[in-house]
Amino acid sequence: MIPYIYIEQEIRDHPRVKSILLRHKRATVVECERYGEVFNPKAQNFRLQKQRPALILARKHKGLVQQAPPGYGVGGDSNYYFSHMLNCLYDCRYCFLQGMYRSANYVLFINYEDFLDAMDTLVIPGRQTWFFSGYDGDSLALEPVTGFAASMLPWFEQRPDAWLELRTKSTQIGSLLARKPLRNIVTAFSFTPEPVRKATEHRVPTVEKRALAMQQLATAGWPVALRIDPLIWHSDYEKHYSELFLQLFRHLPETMLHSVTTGPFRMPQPFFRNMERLYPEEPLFAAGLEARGKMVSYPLDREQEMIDFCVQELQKYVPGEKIYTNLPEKDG
Amino acid sequence: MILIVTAFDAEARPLIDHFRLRRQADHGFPVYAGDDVWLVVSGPGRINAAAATAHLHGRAGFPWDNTWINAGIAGHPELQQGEARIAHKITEKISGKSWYPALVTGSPWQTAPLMTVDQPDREYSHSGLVDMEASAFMETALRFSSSELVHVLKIVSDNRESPAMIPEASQLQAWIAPHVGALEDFCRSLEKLAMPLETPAGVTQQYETLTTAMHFTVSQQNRLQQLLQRWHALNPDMQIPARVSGKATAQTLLDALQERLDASPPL
Repeated sequence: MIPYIYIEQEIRDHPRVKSILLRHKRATVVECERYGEVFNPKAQNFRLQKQRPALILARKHKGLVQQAPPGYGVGGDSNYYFSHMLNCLYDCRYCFLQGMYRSANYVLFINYEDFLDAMDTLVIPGRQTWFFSGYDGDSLALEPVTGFAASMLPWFEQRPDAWLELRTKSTQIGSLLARKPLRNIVTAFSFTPEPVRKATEHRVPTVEKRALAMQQLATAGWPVALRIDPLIWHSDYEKHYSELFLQLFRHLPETMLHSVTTGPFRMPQPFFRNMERLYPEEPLFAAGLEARGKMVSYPLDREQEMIDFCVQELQKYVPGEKIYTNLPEKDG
Repeated sequence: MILIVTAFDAEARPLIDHFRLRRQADHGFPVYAGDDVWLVVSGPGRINAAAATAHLHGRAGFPWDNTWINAGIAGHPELQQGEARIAHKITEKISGKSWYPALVTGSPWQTAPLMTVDQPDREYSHSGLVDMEASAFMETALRFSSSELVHVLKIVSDNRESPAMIPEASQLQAWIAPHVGALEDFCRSLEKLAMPLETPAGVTQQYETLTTAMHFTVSQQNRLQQLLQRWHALNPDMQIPARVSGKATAQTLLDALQERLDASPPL
């Protein structure tokens, strides 16, 4: 249950706001001028707020769609990302959001149409243009509240050169299953092995439950993808990643899979320091990582060893051309 | 630790009695203290509230991330006298600035917006609570703690039907006293919420043992604290091995501990 809903005054009468309020009649509604008044103040603690996050409804005015970092993509001609939400229902200990934001409240930008207008200016006919959603929060986990995916689909149906990635750890696939599949909407499920999920991905459904949701979607004809990202080093990681891939491909024939990406754990140093301060007792941050340039990551040889191992294992199930290794830019 | 700011002696009295606080020998502001509760009586208005909040912070030993409460009376156009509300938005009339305390534990009271004014509002033009201290309390207390732990509880003393006048001390105490038990429960739940923010006792003990046994420079002390924290995260019930703690110098101890940590898988 969402206990508090903060609303920017200017969108108080927006139909999407009214519809959300109708479904959360018990929530206390608090008006604010701009969402930053609630979300940005310094004296907030992400960890404490994560215990009972509020929902902030806002309008995004600028920077609606951004260029994806170089090296990021799954074979398209151009790559962009956007965030209709800030923060996430889940509580993954390795997630950069907890180091980046001071507040754990969910921000939902309700002007979806403005996102689509911004995308419209970027699509070039004949060139595959990708829009990655789920950078600042899970694309589907709050779908029953936001109706975001359902609102996007008709637009993408009309634009076959525009591709949408919905990145998720959820099993909220109802709004997709409710309609005819689209070949240019790819639902990308991210996974870590079950022991890592248990230890670090709080509130995330089990690997098995998500694998079944993925299978259900693929069986209905929707393209799906795997995101083995971030790779987490732990005891027996080889065994656990091998088991994960075996489990996933038991549910999912390779032919129904759009792509697999894998990437290492890398975190800007200031975010990492914030995360360490928030969770000093967290084993994940306590060993095996090092500062490299402006980032914190596993040592280069360990990182490469894990990527090589996972790619090699994945190739048992998926042809190499479907596997992408997303390595962030070299840092200074 | 719970730190309470009230404007008037009569507001403070039920809290002093409930928490069994004793008057401290302070100049400037009346300060009361018990085992883990501190209280200051600020006097009316924003400047007094800000100064008293800062005074109490220093007097209590400059604590970080503790529970802060501004408790007292306020006006409201409609609510009955004696009703209590916790503020979900505090706006300072003169600056237009607002604060939004984050309510992450259940509250025994309903919430309301609050406006802090410099002159009493005889017209009751604001639809929520009206007081003369809360914005300054928020601005100051949020320098020392986090928004989830800093709250304003107001008990209605006047409304359109019974407009503002200076209430008798006994009347004021009668309005506040029924809410004191719930206030303590609320504060204790906030303290519990903040517990994970404290350094684990195991880390503190081991840090003290090691820094007493050998000399660490200031930067070595910082590194030791950080490494012990990491050790504790990986081995919550274990002291660092004697092979490491028995090193002859601070530098060799730190290097040995670092080496051990870097070789351990985190999960």
